[in-house]
Amino acid sequence: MTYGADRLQEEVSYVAYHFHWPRAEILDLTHAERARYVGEIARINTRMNEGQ
Amino acid sequence: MRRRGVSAGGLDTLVDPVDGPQEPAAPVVAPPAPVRLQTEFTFQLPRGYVDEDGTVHRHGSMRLATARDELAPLVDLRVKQNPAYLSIVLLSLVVTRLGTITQVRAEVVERLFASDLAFLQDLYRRINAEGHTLAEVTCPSCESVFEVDLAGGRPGES
Repeated sequence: MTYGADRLQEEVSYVAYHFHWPRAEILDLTHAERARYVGEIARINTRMNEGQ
Repeated sequence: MRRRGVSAGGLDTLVDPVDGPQEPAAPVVAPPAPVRLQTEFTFQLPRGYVDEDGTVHRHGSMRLATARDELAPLVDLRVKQNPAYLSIVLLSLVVTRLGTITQVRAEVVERLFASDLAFLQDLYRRINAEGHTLAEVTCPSCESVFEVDLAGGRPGES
């Protein structure tokens, strides 16, 4: 029924590592919002790595 | 070096709110921009919760779950002793109203009829995975496809 704790920790850490938002802010994002930011970070990283 | 730092310029475009500029100080650490999103869904239980006075509570609302909601029950002693209790604790966090009950505690959720509990678990899955309570169905006789609202009513305004 749930998202999975490991996956959650991974996504929260990913957003925290890249965006430096406070822990509480990231924890309170809904699943859809958090997933969207994870996707955006991945896109930014891909774009930057390709431009290397 | 595999990972590269992300420039503030790139982030600015992400965290800027849609409706106008914000204060210039530290845009990188700004909280996430408000996204227009339905975060609360009304529902109608198939049977209803019967409280101590015999009153039946059928209409309620559930909000979208967050990472906090799903991680918090994992340190709960009841969940540690019995993992099946996870959905009970989780539902008590996201069900914001049940009839006239506005403080829905785990004790309320665990006294629900099994069919109502299954209904709420299904609703939880739907709104968190798909973001709505609509299901596509096909009429068995005319085969036309249409949507039904499984929450039993209009989606609630958040």
